[in-house]
Amino acid sequence: MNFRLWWGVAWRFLWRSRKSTGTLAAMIVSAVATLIFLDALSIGVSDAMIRNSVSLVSGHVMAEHIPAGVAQETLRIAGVEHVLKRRTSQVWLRHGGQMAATALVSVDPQAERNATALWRKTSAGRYLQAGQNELFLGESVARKLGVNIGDTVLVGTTPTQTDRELVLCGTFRTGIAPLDQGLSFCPDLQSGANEDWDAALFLAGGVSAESVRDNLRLPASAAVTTWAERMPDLKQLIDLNGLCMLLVMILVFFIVSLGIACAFVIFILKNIREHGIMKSMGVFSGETVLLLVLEISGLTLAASAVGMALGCALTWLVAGPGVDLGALTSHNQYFAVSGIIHPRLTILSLALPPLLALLFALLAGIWPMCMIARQRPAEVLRSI
Amino acid sequence: MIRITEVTKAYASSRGLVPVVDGVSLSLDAGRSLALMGRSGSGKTTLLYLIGGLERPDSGQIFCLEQPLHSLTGNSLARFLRKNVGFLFQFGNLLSYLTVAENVAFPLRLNNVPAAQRDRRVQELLEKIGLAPAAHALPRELSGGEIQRVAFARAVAHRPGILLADEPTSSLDSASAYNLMDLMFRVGRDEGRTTLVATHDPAVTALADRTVRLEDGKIAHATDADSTDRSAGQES
Repeated sequence: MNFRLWWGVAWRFLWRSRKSTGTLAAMIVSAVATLIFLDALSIGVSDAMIRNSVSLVSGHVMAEHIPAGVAQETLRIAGVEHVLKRRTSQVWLRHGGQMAATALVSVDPQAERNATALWRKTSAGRYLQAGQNELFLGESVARKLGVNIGDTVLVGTTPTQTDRELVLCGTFRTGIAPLDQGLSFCPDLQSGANEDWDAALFLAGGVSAESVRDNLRLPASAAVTTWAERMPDLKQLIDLNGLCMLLVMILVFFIVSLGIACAFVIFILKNIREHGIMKSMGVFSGETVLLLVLEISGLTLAASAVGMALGCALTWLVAGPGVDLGALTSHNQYFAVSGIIHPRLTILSLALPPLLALLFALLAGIWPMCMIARQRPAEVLRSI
Repeated sequence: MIRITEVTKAYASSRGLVPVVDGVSLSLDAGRSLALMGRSGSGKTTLLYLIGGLERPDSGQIFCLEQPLHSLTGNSLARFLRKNVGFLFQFGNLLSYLTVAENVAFPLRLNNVPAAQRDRRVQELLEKIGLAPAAHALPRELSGGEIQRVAFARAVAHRPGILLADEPTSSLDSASAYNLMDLMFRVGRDEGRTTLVATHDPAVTALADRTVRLEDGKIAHATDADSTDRSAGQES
């Protein structure tokens, strides 16, 4: 079988039948471009949910019980943008006869400001300043304790013990109950320099938390977890988002392919007489099928390439400013920091729509291919 | 050499099975030409398709160049056609998206003729049909007569042993028709080709070595070029 001959015939047919080729191609271009953009938007939604969830406090990867001798820089491996050193202890807060249990996190306020978004959720007062004996507390806990900005809060490891006194400098409200009610923050005064410490790692865009976790070289006593392990509900939501998008793609292509299938059938049957002529010249059935496969796949791949370029351009245009869905996400805990979505492309979001287009186009061509290949030349010539 | 024996072909229709070719026998020596005459519906095209392997007989035998065409199928049949048969249809039926030169070259490419030899043969034929300047034109840019001339060139490009032509002049004016027929028979004689032409045109009978008239799928009359009459019904 002379592949070069049939490729030459196929592209000449596509190029010199520009009107019908163009019409069919337009359907494929619009379907591919739309799906690429939609998938990029869906990925952007997932990115935003992750970003919003991890950027408040926890980071993409959290390492706990790191021995004191391990330097902070040890954790700054490829893909890690910020390493926040913290020390956490379970404490009781007391004020005016009221008490509340919380995890007190000692932090570097400036580093936290640079990497997290919690300081933006200040509801009263201000965020922490380095070197001060201050407390930054959830608004609901402050209300429960009856404490105001500037008041002193007693901190102890037991309900009756007082280890230190901290002045309330500000309160925060994220809308996430475990955070608002379970955490409080104070500047790290380096008093526990010989104690184990914790780290929150913030990663660059697109870096896999799992790969960073696997590449960290820490003693066995340190426990390293990713956001997906700590927030399985978010992980499930993102997986659900991805699955829904895949179903949308398949459904859209199935529906679009009905139109493409009809158009392809007309496209092929319009030239059925020419296939009869070729059969009368001794073209093998396999060569007829090859020709049709080359025509279909050539058209689909070329149109898909244009669709990909269009989808990429649209994604790039929108990705910069982003899409502000604040009105739809303001009460959603997974969008606690920002409702702006930045569409993002992945290899899969680029490759899947064209592959689906090719699959459905070839499926659409099966019936006319079989029909033409199986008929005798006279039957094909008579079929017009 | 073409030899067909008691060949029949019927088509199913709303009227039941309609015999289109009914027990036809004829033979034609290599290098000779035959004109198949008859009214519309007499079975000329079907008989031509049967001889050319484009259709399969319900019964009977067809031998072309010693090959049992009636039993060849699939790729064996296609291989025989691409090497040994050229077909000229009523309206030319060029491949609309190939240029004149590409259409003429097509059977040569099917037969894997090397490029240099292919180009020479295409040039030779285009000059013979007077369309060398139109080598890069598409069929839609040609007149009816030009289309038929290109179709003829395509049909003989690979020097087939057999040329079958189905009413090739029906869409042409008489001058163009005569020129095409003259070219076809002349080139056929020069290249030793067996030529069968289904036609309404009486002028063709003057150019062919033998004429066979079909009526209702049977041979009604046969005449040699020397006007020798043959019996109706069977021709050998």
